[in-house]
This record gives sequence, C-alpha cells and structure tokens, in this order.
Amino acid sequence: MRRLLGLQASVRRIYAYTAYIHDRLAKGFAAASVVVSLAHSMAVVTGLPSFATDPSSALLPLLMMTSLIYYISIVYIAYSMAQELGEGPAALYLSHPLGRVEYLLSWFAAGLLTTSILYLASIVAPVLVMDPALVSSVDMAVLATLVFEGLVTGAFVFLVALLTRRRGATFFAGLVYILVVPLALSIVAAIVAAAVPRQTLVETLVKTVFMLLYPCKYYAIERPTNAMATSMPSALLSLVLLGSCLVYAKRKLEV
Amino acid sequence: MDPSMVVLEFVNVTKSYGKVIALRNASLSLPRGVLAGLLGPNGAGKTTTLKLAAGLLRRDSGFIQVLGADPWANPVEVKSRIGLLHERPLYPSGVGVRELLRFLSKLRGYGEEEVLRVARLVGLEDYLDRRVNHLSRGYLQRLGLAQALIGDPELLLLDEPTANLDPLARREILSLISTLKRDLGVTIVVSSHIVPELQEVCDYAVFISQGTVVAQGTLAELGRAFLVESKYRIESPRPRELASKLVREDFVLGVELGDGWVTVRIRSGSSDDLLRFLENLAPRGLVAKVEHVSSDLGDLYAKTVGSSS
Repeated sequence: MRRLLGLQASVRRIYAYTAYIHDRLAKGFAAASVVVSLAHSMAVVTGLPSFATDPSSALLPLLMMTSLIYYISIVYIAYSMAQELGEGPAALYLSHPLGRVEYLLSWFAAGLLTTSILYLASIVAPVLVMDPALVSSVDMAVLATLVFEGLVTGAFVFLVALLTRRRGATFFAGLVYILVVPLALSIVAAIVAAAVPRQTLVETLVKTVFMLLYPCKYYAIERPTNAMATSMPSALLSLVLLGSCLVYAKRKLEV
Repeated sequence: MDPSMVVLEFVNVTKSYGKVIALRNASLSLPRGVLAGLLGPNGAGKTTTLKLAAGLLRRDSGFIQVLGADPWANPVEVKSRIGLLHERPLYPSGVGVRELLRFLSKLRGYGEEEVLRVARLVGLEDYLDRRVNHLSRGYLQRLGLAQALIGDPELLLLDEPTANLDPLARREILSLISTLKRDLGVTIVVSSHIVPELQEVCDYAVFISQGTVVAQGTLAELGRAFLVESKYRIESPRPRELASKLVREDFVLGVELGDGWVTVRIRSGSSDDLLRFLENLAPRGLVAKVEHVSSDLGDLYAKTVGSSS
C-alpha cells in the first residue's frame, strides 16, 4: 500500500514537472505543431487521389521532410534540458521533492512522448478530416519506423545532454546525428556499392548501422517487406540508451 | 546529544570534484531548533556541505543523515522535509514569480494558498505577478527564501543568503531569518563568510576551513572552549547592587542594567572567573539565573579558522 502511494506521488510529480516543461516550451511546441500540421494537411489535400490508391508512397516523401522538424524538436528539448542542468535551474527544482529519475522521466515525457503524439496526430488528423475510412489505409509500420527513429535520436541526444550538460554540445551532436551521419553513411554505402559489385561485409555493416540508427530512412531506401521487424533493433537500442540515462541519473546526477 | 534531537549529521564525509577535495573527513552534528552559522572563508566547503545535506551531491565516503534519512539514497523523503536557498539561485529566464512558486508548491503537494502564504511570509505578495528577471537582488533573495519555505520545512539550509546585497537588504534578510526561527521554530543553517552579520542571529556555529570542520557547538560552549569575549545575562532581584559589584572586577568589560537583570560583557577566557564570582554571590540572593547570551563570533572565527589556515 505504501509503495503504491509512493508510486502515485511519483507519477503526480512527473506529471507536474512535465506540465511545467510544456508551459516553458509552449511557444516552440506550438510553432512546430502548426508547421507540421499545415504541411501534412496540404499533402493530404493535394495528394488525395494517389493517397487513396497507395497511401504509403504518397505520404512517404513528405514524412521524410516533416520528420526532420519532429527530430529537431526532440533535439531542442534535450538542448533545453542541458541548458537547465548546466546553468542552474535544475538545482533549484531538484532541491524540492523531485527525484533524479523523476526529473529525467519528465524530460523524456516532454521530449519523446509529447512530440511523438503531436507528430502522429498531425498526420492522422487531416486524414481523419478528409475521410475517416482512409485512416485504415495509413501504413502503421511506416509510422512505427518514424517513431522508433525519433526514439533513438532522442535517447542519444538526452544521453549527450546528461553527460555534457552543455546546450551547444547537445545541439551540435543532435544536428550531426540527424543530418550529417545519415548522409555520410549513404555516401559510404554508395561508394562501396559502386566499387564492388557483390555485396561486401562493409556494405552489410553500413546497412546494418543505418537500419539500427535510422529505421525510417532505411525503410524509405530499402523498402524491406517487414518494416516492424527491421525496426525492432532500433527499439531495443533506444531502450538501452534511455535505460543508461536513467541509471546515470540515479547513480551520478549531481547538481 | 540525544540522537532523536539531531537533525543533521555528517560522519567523516569526504567529497571531491576531480582532484580538488572540497570536504575532507568532515564530521558535524546539528541539534534540533538551533540557528546555526556555517562559517568559513570562500572555498572552505560550505556550499558543498549544504548540497550534500540536500542530496544534490553524492559523497565519496562517510555517512550523512538528515532528519533520520540518507539524503542521496532517499532524496524525495529528505527534500520534502527541508528547504534550501542556493547561493546564487539561477531562475529560468522569463518565468513569473507566481508561476514558479505554484509549480514548486505543486511538487510538494500544495496549491495556490501555499504560494500566497510563503509570499506573505517573506513580503513578496505584491510581486507575485512580476517576472523573476524584473526583481531586484533583495527581492530575488526573498523569492529564494519563499521557495525554501514552501511546505513548512523542518530544516532550512540557507547558502550565503545575504551575498551581494546592499546593507539595508542584508539587514532585512537577517531580520527575516530571525523571525522565521522565532515564529516557526524551524532549525536553520546559514552559511556565510561574513562573520559579524551572523553574531546577532546565531546560537550555534560550525567553523569550516579547507574542507575540514575545525570547531562546532553552541556559542556558549565555543566561548568557553576558545576563551573569547562573551556576554551573559544575569537575572537578579537587586540588579543595581549586582552591577556595582561586577564593574569592580578586572575581567568585566561592560555592564548593562535592566529591570530585574544585568547584562555583562567579559574578557576572553573569563567565563570561569565570572561563574565563580556569581557562585560566591548566590548565597546572598543576588543571583537568580545566569544565561549565556553570545560569544564573539569574530573572535571565535579568528581562533578556529584563523589558526587552522
């Protein structure tokens, strides 16, 4: 009973802090949501004919573009956490009854859960408005790869934020992860493929890394038959990274 | 000391930041209900001590107990019973005073009434709708006190509460701290490197130098141990007669006469002389009660911290 009450109190504190983070970052959330929602609405309206016949092909190029805003939003939230840890307000909040793990879980909730829900809602809402029946034609596996890519990105940047406590380093690492690494991997894969006609170990390795870190982009390029199955390693990786963040917070987070 | 009376206990605590050792085998023990000064020069380890007590830092070795629990292992349990004012509280930019206090109250399970209560307590009620970055330093410090007082903590840890304040604001904050001790009966630890300002408010002191606790105790105990100037208040049915006898003694520096009492200021190391003198007068019905008022903190600081550095 006591444990249950403790858990209830813990959830209440996580909720309070998540809501506070939302209030603080409300303008950014609103701006990103508006831009993404508009883009998705436009896409659904203009691509309605092809959307009705092959929704995943119609939506995929657009999702690749708008998912960038989604991932950058996650990076921005990790950046805000690094700023709070590095510049002092975290010490103020943690002087009150907010556990170190609760503190981090609140940031996860604000950074990963909320942005994912907002992003998915911005895709599903315009489809629902046009024709509710179309929702069933949206490829959920593609959306899952998107969310898993967001989770891996988020877990990585949160770990950087936690370890460095520097907003600049967090933002830089996030942008490199989102923009530079996939491009570099694609170039390496292309060079290897051009140089050696047969599939080599290097090519397999590059593809595996790509699949692990960027399940959505991997899906867009390789079109595997089972997108969910190819996303599972990414889901596991994000769990390992998020778990590492929590263990670090519990054992070593000093402010 | 009765263990149930101890609110804060450090036993051989060491804490380092990389190669820099901030606390070295520090041991201290604070009884319930005191207003303790944590005194030492800059870099002595005062902030580290308070942060360790609040569970914000993890000790390298040793034992820490705050209100019966380990603050690092049970941070929520300890932090729900203490309040901490940081030396330089860095508030998030653009946040409103009410918004911040409301959120911090919510963390402790309180609502809007608590925001108003603590704001009134520190004289901040007219500033609730301002943004934090529009407050003067004095009012920022009041905000710091207000947030530390949310939920009526049993132990208040105040890190340099008067740092960077003008003399008037400094006096206001110190008077506020005295009032909190008197009216709320809360145990308070105030860290400072400005010794004289704590003279009027503290009844207990912990001296810390280069990460080591060099002395601690009530001001009376420390006054006796380190032979410093002290002040005693003596209740007497014939204060005038008592005062006339006291002024003739060599160890007496000054006497103040009141209605039914005499306050006497004595030379360093003369407590025993005074007590012997009063013992001799007791049979004549001149002495009803003797009470130690204070020992000179500046003197104590020089003898403890000064001799260790």
